[in-house]
Amino acid sequence: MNARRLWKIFRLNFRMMYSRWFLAFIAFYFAVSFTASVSAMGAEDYASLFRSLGVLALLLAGGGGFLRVVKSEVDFVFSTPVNPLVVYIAKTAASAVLPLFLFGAFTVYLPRPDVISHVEYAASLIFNTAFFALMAGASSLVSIRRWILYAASQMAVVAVTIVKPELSPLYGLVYPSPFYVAYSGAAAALAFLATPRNLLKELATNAYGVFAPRRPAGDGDAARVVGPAGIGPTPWRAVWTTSVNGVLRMRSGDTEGVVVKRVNVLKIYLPLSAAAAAVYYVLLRLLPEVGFLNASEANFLVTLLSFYLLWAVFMMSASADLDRERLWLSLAVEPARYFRLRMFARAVIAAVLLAPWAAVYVLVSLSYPPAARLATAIAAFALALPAASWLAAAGWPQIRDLDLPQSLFRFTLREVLTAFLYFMFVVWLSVPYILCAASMDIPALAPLLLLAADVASVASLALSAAFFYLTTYSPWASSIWGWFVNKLSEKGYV
Amino acid sequence: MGVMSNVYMWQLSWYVYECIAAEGLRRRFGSVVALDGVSFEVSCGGAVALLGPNGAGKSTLLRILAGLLRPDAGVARLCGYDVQRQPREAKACMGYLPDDPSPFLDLSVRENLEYVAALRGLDGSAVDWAIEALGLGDIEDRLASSLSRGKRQRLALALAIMHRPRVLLLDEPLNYLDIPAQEYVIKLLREMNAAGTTILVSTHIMSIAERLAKEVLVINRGRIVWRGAVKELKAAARDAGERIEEVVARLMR
Repeated sequence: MNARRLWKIFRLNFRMMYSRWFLAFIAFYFAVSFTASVSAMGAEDYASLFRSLGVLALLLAGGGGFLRVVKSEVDFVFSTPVNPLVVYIAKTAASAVLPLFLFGAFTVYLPRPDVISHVEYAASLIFNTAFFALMAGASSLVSIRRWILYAASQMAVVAVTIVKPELSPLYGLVYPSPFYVAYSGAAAALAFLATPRNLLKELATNAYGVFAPRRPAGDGDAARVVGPAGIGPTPWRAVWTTSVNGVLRMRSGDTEGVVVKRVNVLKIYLPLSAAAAAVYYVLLRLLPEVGFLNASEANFLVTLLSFYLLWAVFMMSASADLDRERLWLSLAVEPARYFRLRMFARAVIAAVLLAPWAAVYVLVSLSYPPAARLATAIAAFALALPAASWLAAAGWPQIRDLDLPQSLFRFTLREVLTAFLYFMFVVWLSVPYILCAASMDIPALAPLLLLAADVASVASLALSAAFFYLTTYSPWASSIWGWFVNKLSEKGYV
Repeated sequence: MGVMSNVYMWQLSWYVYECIAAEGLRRRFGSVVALDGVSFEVSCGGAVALLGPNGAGKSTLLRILAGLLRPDAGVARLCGYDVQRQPREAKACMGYLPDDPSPFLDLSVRENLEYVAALRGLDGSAVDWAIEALGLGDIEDRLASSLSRGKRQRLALALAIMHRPRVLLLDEPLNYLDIPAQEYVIKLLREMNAAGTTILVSTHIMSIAERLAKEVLVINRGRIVWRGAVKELKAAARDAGERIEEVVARLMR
């Protein structure tokens, strides 16, 4: 294949992944990052920079799913004579533009003494970007066992970047040297070797077999959890049953089809939520013991970060299950009524799954009172989450036949603004907690700060309740869900 | 040299005689038998309609022929190439329109065609021809996501035929199309067939099969239960005083 054809395949994949306004935003972010990376930081104080790079790497590692094979590729790419490996490399290269810009935005303006160090920096930037892009690409294709292996290797890089940066290949972005060029180059080479070649080869002759949903071995009819008798007879019962029995998809082998079954989300995720809450509680007690943080830092930071992480995980999960929605269902009855019932069901599920966290924050508040404010924040979160997560995901592709998305995930300015809006929302939810924590450090202002925390708590709850009302019972609910249905239709939902 | 050339030409003419060939194709999905030993061939330049009830195995058969699904047993050949052993050669000579196709929604009509042209190594003239052939000129700059289902179907058909393949595998090609578009597409496919393209088309609609194909394959429960000329079906219908659909329905039972 000649370079011109390769370039065209890359360019059109790039076009599918990013909107022009998103690229304009990234360029703007790149430009203004000068302030963040140079003026806000002392040249010798790069500890916070490595923490930021670690968090960025964590986000990149977590975002690999957007490179999945899509239905259009099965229809029109794998039926051509092209080698699927070529398309995979072009897609991965197009996806690498985002980490390249982001890693660059954090580090490109750092002072370097000579031309050689600039060259070493450029090489480290390319190799580190290639490592994360190739890992994300491979992770989006492979079986759950290999996915765990890939995720673990990325998490190891994230961990050392935060805890011991000189052990990380990302260290070369801040302190370029031949050693770190070789180190990050080796990491990129390993990531390239981890490309699932067998699966890509299989796609050339058996794409429908690779992605065909299949019943779990030995599951018999148990895979059909929801039969007609379980769904009826009322609309509420139908909506509740299809909400609580979510779809679980898992690739057990690289080329053996995808196991798809309905599972009761409460049975699966409630124990996971409770276990994660327990891990938070243990970490809170353990970190000061091992001297990683002092007790005060641990209480404030770990608790706040746990809430932000909880928000991110729930928001992503609640948004992602939109891809299973069938638009004709919502149109079979009056859309506003259908979505009202769906939001009720999702609110109940969210409340149950978040309950262990509310309990653990109340428990922590016995020794660290500000944590109680996060229990209130969770109530507000549970009310806003069901509708907010779906409205945020209105541009995401549907998963239909073959258990594949209809199109690639597309980065647009809307996604950026939505993410920013929802980040502001979680910051707003945590304001009472922050005010309460501040009242412990500034006793003179404590009464005022606690009063402000009370007002913010009540306002959060009231606004979330108002949002829930707005998206369920209010006269405006029809307009909101009408817009939503149109948006889904544009994205090819049926 | 001359002898070798003659042998090569003889092999070529033998291959070219059967542009689509299936030998003993079997495929199961769990306990469901989708194809149960399907064998047939379509001569080059032929046009065959694949008829059968829902779940008969039509789409599975087309996917196996298109090299998108591996059979449990049997061999599929296109233009003489085994689609599993020589997929590049087989796919180079084949165009495939799947059931419920999904073009690239975030690309314009022209970009969709340019993408597949790049994958197939075609130049810009193939893109222009496909736009002209399917009447997509007035929407070539529109995103596929903004098109109606009917226009998306026309785009999908353009993607399948833009390299003017020797073999065309079509799964319900007239789905979503309005009547003028159906007429337009039928005319285009008949012209392609007259120019030498071999067509295997799966459809539920007998009138479309009559207009697009010279022969009919009736498939049921993964087996071919009848094969013959459209003329034979018409004669059988006339003799029995029935509509042709009634004759086909009886064959499917």
